[in-house]
Amino acid sequence: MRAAALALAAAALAACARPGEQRALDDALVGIADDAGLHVVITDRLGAVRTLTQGRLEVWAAAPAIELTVDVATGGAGRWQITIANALPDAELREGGAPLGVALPAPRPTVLVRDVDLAPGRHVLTVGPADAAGPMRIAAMADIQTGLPTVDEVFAAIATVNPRFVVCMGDLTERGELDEYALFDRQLATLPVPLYTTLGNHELWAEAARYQGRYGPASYQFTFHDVAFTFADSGDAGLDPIVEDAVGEMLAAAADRQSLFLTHFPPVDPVGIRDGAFRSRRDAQRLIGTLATAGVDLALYGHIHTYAEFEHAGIPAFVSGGGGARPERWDGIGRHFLVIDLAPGQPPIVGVRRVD
Amino acid sequence: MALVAALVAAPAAAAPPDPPPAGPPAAGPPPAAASPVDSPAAPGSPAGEPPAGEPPAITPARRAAAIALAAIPGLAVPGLGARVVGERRAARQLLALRAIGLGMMVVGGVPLLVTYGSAKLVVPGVHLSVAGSGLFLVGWWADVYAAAGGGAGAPRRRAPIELVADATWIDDEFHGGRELIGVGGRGHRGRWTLAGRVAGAHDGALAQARVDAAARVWRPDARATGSGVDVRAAIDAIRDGDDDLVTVTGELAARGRLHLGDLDRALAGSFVELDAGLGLQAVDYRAGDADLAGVLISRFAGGVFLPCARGEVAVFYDHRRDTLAGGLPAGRAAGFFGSVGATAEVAITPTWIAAAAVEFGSARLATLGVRRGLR
Repeated sequence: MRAAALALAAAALAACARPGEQRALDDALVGIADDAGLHVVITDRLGAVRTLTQGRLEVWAAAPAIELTVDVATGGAGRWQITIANALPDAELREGGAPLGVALPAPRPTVLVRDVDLAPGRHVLTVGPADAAGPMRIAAMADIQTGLPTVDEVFAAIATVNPRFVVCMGDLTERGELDEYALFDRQLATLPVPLYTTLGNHELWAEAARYQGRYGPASYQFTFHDVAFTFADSGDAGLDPIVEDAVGEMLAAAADRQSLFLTHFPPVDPVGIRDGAFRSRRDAQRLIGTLATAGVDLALYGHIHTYAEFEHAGIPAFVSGGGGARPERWDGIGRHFLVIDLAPGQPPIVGVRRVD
Repeated sequence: MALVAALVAAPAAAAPPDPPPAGPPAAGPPPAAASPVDSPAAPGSPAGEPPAGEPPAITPARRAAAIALAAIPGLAVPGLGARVVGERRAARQLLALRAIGLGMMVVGGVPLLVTYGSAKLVVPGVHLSVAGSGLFLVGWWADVYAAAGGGAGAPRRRAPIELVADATWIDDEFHGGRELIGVGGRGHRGRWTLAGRVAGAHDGALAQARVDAAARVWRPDARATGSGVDVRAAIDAIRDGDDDLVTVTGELAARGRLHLGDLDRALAGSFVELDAGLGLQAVDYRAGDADLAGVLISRFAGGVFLPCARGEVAVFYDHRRDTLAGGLPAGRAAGFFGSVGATAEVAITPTWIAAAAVEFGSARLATLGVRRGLR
């Protein structure tokens, strides 16, 4: 009886040993939709198809430049209103290099709306700005959670430093509730630039599909201005082997360019004894070894509601959990975000800005 | 509720007055187990009352009720099971043990919650929380143990020198199954203990070496496995060829074990163990600079000694996440909890001891070993 109970417990523990596996599998299906005579695939899963109904296609962009392959069946041919949310303000919708469709009024600078006539057949559409090189400034933040009702103040502060876009290391919400996501989207109206993010452990308080359906995959990579941004899903305080393998491949592919790595949990807490980090330090160290091997230039984390600047394996790393969540006390920082200046051939320059 | 009140209020077949504590644990004869059935009064004692120091006689139905009450409402009501079987002194001791544990959890945990894990409070906060949880949970379990009539177990006295051979099977989602074959030894002299172990995988990908030294500062007999406090230091090195990692960890900690028989006869044979300290870990990656990181050592265990002083069985919680086991994937609390497990050692003969352990964290470990005691 006792042995059976032990075996049962062991099986239960083994079964939950990969809590992120299904999420990693689901990531592969993000950015694909099929309805109303259209089959839409976002290349490299860099976005989410939020709406696909007769005559209306709405996509959330998870990168400054994305590509959509749209197969139009006979029944889908005709006029379509294509909306790209979370786009750079100067992004343009193009097909074959030429601007596509008629611009319609958009509710905010990060939304692009076009009235497009789609003929049957395959259309490869791109969304992105004209610039592709040169120095740029970005902002980084994480851990909004209970600060969601006032995160517009953080966004407004970020807007003052004129970043090209914002990267976020997760914990957009406190509980992953639908009304929280809706509020987050409304608060983004304050931000004149797009925000690219991964999820945090608080998004996992509800089904991760809510996140993936709105903001795209949790693990992905994009390159902009020859800088690779690699986001990894560490929402369960670790990387699922599927994610770890994918991250290894993405980082290796970016080894010859400037490379930033972003995930929610710091692999190792800069205050080691606190261990607000991966659930296995050995797994964390293996990941850090991968980052070092791939020549990552900068690692950005959240989860701990403070600011910390440190190094692991010689890689500059920052924890910035000042998006408004209940702050760590006595750390003298409060709400804040990072300002990162990136220039070709130069190490990233990182500064911190307080909001309050 | 009325039934519980009646069981608690009614004397357990003439419960005896509070007996004195059982005194220091000894490797000698274990305390007598409570009879599962009513027994006649001892010669010379008043009818229906056991002699002083003897456990009260309990009917099987009352025993079953006591176990059930200790197991379920007993989580919230300290010492309920012991009280139902008439072990009032044990009940008071368990109340005190669990009150101390709860107090430590509150004193350590609340400031961490309020400050959202302030780095300034981590060391005392986590140590107090984990140790307090240990006292609280082991006190709960010891109540079930007392309600069940306790055991006939007594601490084993180790041989001056023990040689060890063991095999550990490790399974994790990244590497699959791996094995470690280890040999080592442990020697005791007076208050001092020195131990060492080396282990390796057959393909050479994983290797571990560990040296432990300890000084018994309370009840200074390092061979005794009953109550005692050790100050210990260790160096643990792991080379993982699969991950291209080498880690070397230094540990300094205090480890205390309390044989609960020291608190009351009814708890004899059970124990609680706490381990608290700090460590420093150096790690060399496949590329890039080596790093140093702190380690918080915080662990508790609760267990029982086996009858005839033949060994012990324990379950434990280890807050560390830097070991081969790592921490549990604990849902919303992922990244906070360490590992859980169980250990057992059984003397098959006076000189041969079988040992086993399982541990569940991010990885799952199972160890089987044998020890040979040398006189």
